[in-house]
Order: sequence, then C-alpha cells, then structure tokens
Amino acid sequence: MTIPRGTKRILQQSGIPAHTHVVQFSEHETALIDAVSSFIVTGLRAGDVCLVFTTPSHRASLEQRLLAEGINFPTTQMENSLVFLDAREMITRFFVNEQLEPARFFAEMGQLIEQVGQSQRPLRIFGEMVALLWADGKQDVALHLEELWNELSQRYAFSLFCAYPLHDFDGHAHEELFIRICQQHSQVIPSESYLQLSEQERIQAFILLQQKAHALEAEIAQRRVAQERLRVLAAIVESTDDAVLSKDLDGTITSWNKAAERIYGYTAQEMIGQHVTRLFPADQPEEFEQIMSRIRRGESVEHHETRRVRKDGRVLTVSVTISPVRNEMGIVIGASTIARDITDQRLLEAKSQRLFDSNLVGIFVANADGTLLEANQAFLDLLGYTREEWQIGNTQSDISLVSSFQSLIFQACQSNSNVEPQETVIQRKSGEDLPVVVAVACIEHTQTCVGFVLDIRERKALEQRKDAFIGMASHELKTPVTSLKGFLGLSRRLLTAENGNERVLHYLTRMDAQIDKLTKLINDLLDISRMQTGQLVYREERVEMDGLVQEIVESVQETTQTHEINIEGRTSAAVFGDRDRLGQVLINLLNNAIKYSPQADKVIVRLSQEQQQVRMSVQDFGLGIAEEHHHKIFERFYQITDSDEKTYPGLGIGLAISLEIMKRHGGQLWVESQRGEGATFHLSLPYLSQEEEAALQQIELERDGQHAE
Amino acid sequence: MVNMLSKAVSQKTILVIDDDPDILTFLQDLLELEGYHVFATNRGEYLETIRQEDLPDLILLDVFLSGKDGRKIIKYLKAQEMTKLIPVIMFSAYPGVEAVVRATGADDFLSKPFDTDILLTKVQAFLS
Repeated sequence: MTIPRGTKRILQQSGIPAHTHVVQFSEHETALIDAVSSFIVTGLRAGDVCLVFTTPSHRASLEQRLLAEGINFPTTQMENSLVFLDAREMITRFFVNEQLEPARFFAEMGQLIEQVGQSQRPLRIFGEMVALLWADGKQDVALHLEELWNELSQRYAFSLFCAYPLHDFDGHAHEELFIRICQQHSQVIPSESYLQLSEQERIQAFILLQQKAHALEAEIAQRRVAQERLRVLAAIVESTDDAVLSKDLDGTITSWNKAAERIYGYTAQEMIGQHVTRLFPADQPEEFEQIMSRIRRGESVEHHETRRVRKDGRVLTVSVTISPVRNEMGIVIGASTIARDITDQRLLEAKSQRLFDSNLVGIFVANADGTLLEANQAFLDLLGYTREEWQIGNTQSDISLVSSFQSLIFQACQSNSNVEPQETVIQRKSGEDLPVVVAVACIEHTQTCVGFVLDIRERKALEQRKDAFIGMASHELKTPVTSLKGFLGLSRRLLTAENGNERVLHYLTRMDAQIDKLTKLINDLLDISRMQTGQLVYREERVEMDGLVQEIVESVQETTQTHEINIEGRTSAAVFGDRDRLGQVLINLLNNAIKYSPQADKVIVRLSQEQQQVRMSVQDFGLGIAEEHHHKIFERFYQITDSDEKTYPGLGIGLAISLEIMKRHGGQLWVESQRGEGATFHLSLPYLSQEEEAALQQIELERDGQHAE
Repeated sequence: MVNMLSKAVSQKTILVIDDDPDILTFLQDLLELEGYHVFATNRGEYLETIRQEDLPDLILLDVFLSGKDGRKIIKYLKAQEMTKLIPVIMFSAYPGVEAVVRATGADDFLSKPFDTDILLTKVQAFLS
C-alpha cells in the first residue's frame, strides 16, 4: 500500500495550525462536545472541510450544538464541508482478524481524504477511534493508531483532533501510556477548566498546577511508602500464627485473618459482618460488655485469658489482647483483637502441675549450683519440712539439698540430660536418715533441672527382712548339712579303719562331694543377698597369686575326671585382698569352664602381669557365649536361653558374685567368646608394688611384735 | 554324760558346745574315735560354773547358740584368768563372721559344714 504523493496540501486554519495533531483530555462530556464543536465551527467558518469520526450519541450532541451556532446543516453536508462517519464502524474497517491492519487504514483514510480534498480546501479531522479503543482497554492498539495518524500526516495535510476522557486514565498503571499519548501529538490541550481562564489567570493556574504537581509527586511518594508498609503489615497479619481481627464498637467483625480462620474454624467470609460474641461461650454473657466498656474508655485489655468456642464446638483457651482503634480525630471507633490459642499449652501446664502435685514422688526444681527453686509437697514431706519453713533463702534446708544432690544436679546440668536414678541417703529435718532413689533430669539449655525423689524406706526394710531371712535360711540349711557331712566323714573313717566295703566307701565319697556342692550353693545364695546390700565382708591381706591359682586348680582338678586343667605362665606378683574370695572367683570360672564344655577335655589357665596388673584368663573349648549375652551373664539370676529355648542349668549368680568380688578388689572381669567357639574369661587385678609390699611387711612385723609381748 | 574325773591322765579333754544334738553326737563320736575325752553340751552357760579340775584342754564353740551368743562366751573365757589360756576353735554356718570371731579372741575358725580331716588336723595342732 502506498500513499499517493503530491496530494499533500497545506491548509490554513484559525486557532489550530495546519497539519497538527492535537489531543485533548477532557473531564466531562459537555466539555468534549464544546471543544469538538468549537473545532468544527471555527473550521467551517474559515471554509475548511471537516471530517468527523464519532459515536452516534456524540454526533447527535454535536449536531444540536452546531445548529445552535447557526450552522446550516443540509447546506454544509451538501457542500461536502462537513462529513460525519461512525467511529466504531471505521475501526472495523481497519481491522483484519482483530488486528489493526496499517494498509487498510492508509487505504480507507487515503480514499476519504482524496474525496473531500477535491475541493482544495483545508481539512480538519476529529476522530474518536483512539478514545474508543482506549476505553475498550486496547491501549496498545490506540497508541498504534495514533502512530498511523502521524504517518498519514506525512502524506496528507490535515489537522487532527483527538479526545480522551480523562477518567479513563487511572493511577500509575496508565502513567507511561499517558506520556506516550502526549508524545504522539504535536499539541496537548489540558482539560476544559484551564481553557476558560484569562492569560494572567492561566499563568497563575499554571504555577498553581506546578505546585500541585510537586505536592502530588511528594504525596504519591509518601503513599507508595505507606502502601508498601501497609502491604508488609497486611502480610504479617496474614502470616502470623495469632488470630488478628477487628471489630467496630458494636462488636461487628470487620476483618479476619488466616490464623483466625485456622484457630476458630470460620472463614473471613463467614465472620466479617458477624457479631464477635458468636465466638463467646454461652456461660460468659457479661464478658463482651466488660471488654467493650474498657475499649470505649480508650483502655486496652492485655493478655486476657478466656475461653472461645470454635465452629466445631470445641472450647479453646485463648490469650487475647484487645486494643482500641481510633480515627484521625482520636475517637475510638472500634477494637483490634490479637488472640493466641493456648489450649495445648494450658493442658500441658495443667498436666505438669498435676504431676508436680502428685504425692507419689517428691519433685524439686533446682538450678545448676543446687539452689532450690521449687519443691512439691511430697518432697517437703520426705524431708520433714513445712512449706513455710522451706522458703528460698532458708540456708539450712538449702545446704542439706546441696549436699545430698549436688553431684547429681551438677552431672545432669553438665551433660544437659538425665542422670540414671541412684540410691542415696538424705537427712530429714529431724536428723533421721532417709534412704531414697533420686533421678535428676536437666531441662535443656536452662541450667535448671528437675529431680524426682522416691522414698525407699519400705523397700530397704523389706530388703533387710529378706537378708535376715536368707541368713536364717542358710543357717537352718547348713545345720543338717553339717550333721550329714559329719556323719559321712565319721562313717568313712570307721569303714576305712575296719577295711570295709570299698564300694560303700566310694559312694560315701560321692555323697560327700554332693554335700560340698550343696554347701557352695547355699553360700552363693547368702553371698548374693549380702552383696546387694554391700554387707559382704572382705579380709585384707597379701595374697600371693601363683600359689593361690596352683592350689585352686589342684582342688578343682580333683573333682573332675573329664577335663585336664593346665596352667600357663605365672604372675610372680601378689595382690591385696581376700584370699578366699579371690579363690572363689577362680573356682567359679573353672567350674563354669568344665560345666559348659561337656565335649571338651581341657581348660587352660593363663597367668601374666602387665601394666601394674595381674592378668589371668580361663579358657574353655565348649559351647561359647553369643555376644548379645556378654554383659548380661554378669547380671544376677541371668540365664542364657538359646534359640531352642534351652536353658542351661544353674542359679545365675556365680558370675555376678565373681564380678562383684573383682570390683571390690579394684579389678575387672570380662568375657571373650563366640557362640560355638568356647569362651575365655579374663580378669585383671592391681598388684602390690614393691613399695607397697615393703610397707605391708612392716605392718605385719609390728603386729607380730605386739602379739609377742 | 561322761564323768570328767574318770579320764585317763594322759587323755586330752575337749569341750564341745553346740545347740544341735546331731552335731554334738558326731563331733563326740569322731573325737572319741581319735582317742580324745569329749564333753559335749548344748548349754553355753556351763562354762560359767566350771571348776578348775574340770577345765578342758580345748574348746570347740559354735558362734550362734540358741539363746546364747558364742561371742559372749569366748569374751568371758578370754577375760577369766582361769580359762584365758585354753585354746578355742569356733565354728559357724556364716563364713562372714570369721573376722569378727577372731577379733573376740578365738584361736581358730571353721565354717560349717566342716571337713572331718580339716577339723581333726586343727584339733591335733592345738593338743600336740
């Protein structure tokens, strides 16, 4: 499409110079009609041709106005001086597939201009197409059309008048487009109010406008900041875990955030416009008025703990802070509420309080240096203090706590965890000793701990009765056993002296061995009972280890025909302790080795010394012990039950006693074994250094000396 | 009861005190078989009224007697000029009491049940 050249004409006109592109922004319809009719009337009076693209309604208004101005219609139209065309219809002519088609535009407009231009008169065009496109929301198309008009003016001479209703420009969104429209036009006419002023007034108005513009710019900037702040605040309100809502003075809800939806179960839609008492439980009718009377006085209600009812009927415990909302004048117009759901927290607190108040166990709270912060009644009862006596600062009671539990408290706070329950003795106010079990747990990262104290007087009394019973029972058992063994011994003597029946003699020997086993069992039971209460008595003397081992091995060897016990190596050392008890350990280990290796025929005892320790091991070639049992076999009454549910015989106390004896001697006892590969029990004991030996000899010499006197 | 005056001059006398009649019987029989003169009683207070001429050469004393504590008896014996030099072997079903018993002045200790050979060895050691 080419625009015919040489048809360009220079047109003379009044008011608006030739080939100009004018845009007017108008505030009112009437002002638009005024401006357009003035544009046309001026042109017609000067003999110009006017081409008007407008809407039917604007055309009617314009015709009315032109008539009033004394324009003779039929004449002007007959002369082709004034041509009205429908703006919407024109737009459709420029469009192909909803796209503005420049070729069409140039063709259509070129043809029209050619037609009216035959009279050789100047041409004025008023077009409403851009404004319509703009109003339709097709801002980009409107601007494109403006460009095409400008391009058209390069080919033809005409004055173009565009008009935009100012109300179609809203805020920042159209700011850039507005500037672009102004750039598209050679002349921009401000809205009508400006046009009606005198020159002097226009200057004043202009200055005023400039000032206004500055003020507006500043205000816009402030509003942007404020809006941004509001946006941030709104985001906070929406994202907070607390319910945030507002209400007017009547109690009608005006805003409702996300957390309010979550906590109360109602959506914003359901609650805005509703009365806030919808959330109140029925049994608190006076609460709303109490709160609002304070709000009306301009007071806040802070951290008010109350109950509210959820949509599903569940009653919540909430902590609410309600503050008055004021208008610009400072008058209270409503209230804002921040509510926190503390139902779970209160439940937890109530639970711990119940726990604390329970009389089953004494509970105290103390800080890392042992200062008592809190104590329950059960704890005070244990110590025999009244609550009045036990006030913070009561040094006497603090001291007794510190001395009783200090190390446990320190351990708990150091490790930031729990300390295994321990038995200890605390002193009551009366001076009486009280056996207790104490467990101390650190409350993480607080340097504070909670202690639980259990009175075990009854348990201790029971243990004592049990020990007394076992003691008595073992005495009662041993008396007949002593007679049995005695008469057996006597019978063997008589038989031997009389050269009696060999077989009977042999049976008597077997019976005697069984009585020895029975005696050992009774002794073990007695030991285990005493051991538990720390009542085992140990002798303290120099024990030469190699001799002891030799002696024990020989005596155990006498009792077995199946196994050969070999000793390898020597310790060449002595230890300090109870010879019989140490021997008991070795007897236990050897008897176990024989008992649990029925298919084997030997047991090896190895002796050595290293790093100030006497080392001894007893190796068998029997059943072995699975690793999972390695620690448990040293526990009292522990029985190994293998996968076939086969239990190995025994009381399960021999190793427990042995371990205890080793511990009491500062030694260690452990096992190395695998299922099916035999077991090796190792023990180590601190041996006497030469200096210690010397000192011990000195003491013995002195003792002997005293005996001599 | 055996008449203490009828014993041979060379025969050693052993006093056995225990509250169990069977234990008393076998100890008496065992020791008599070995040629000792034995006086066996379950009365701990017997020693409080004993005469000089009836004093034994050795005493075997049970620690826990019914109604009488053997440890009191030995303390009494060791405190009396007349009896303090008589050796005393104590025995008990509680092996743990050995240290306590030795501290009260017992010359030796045997835990029940005892081996007849060991018992006789200890007796011989004191009477030879």
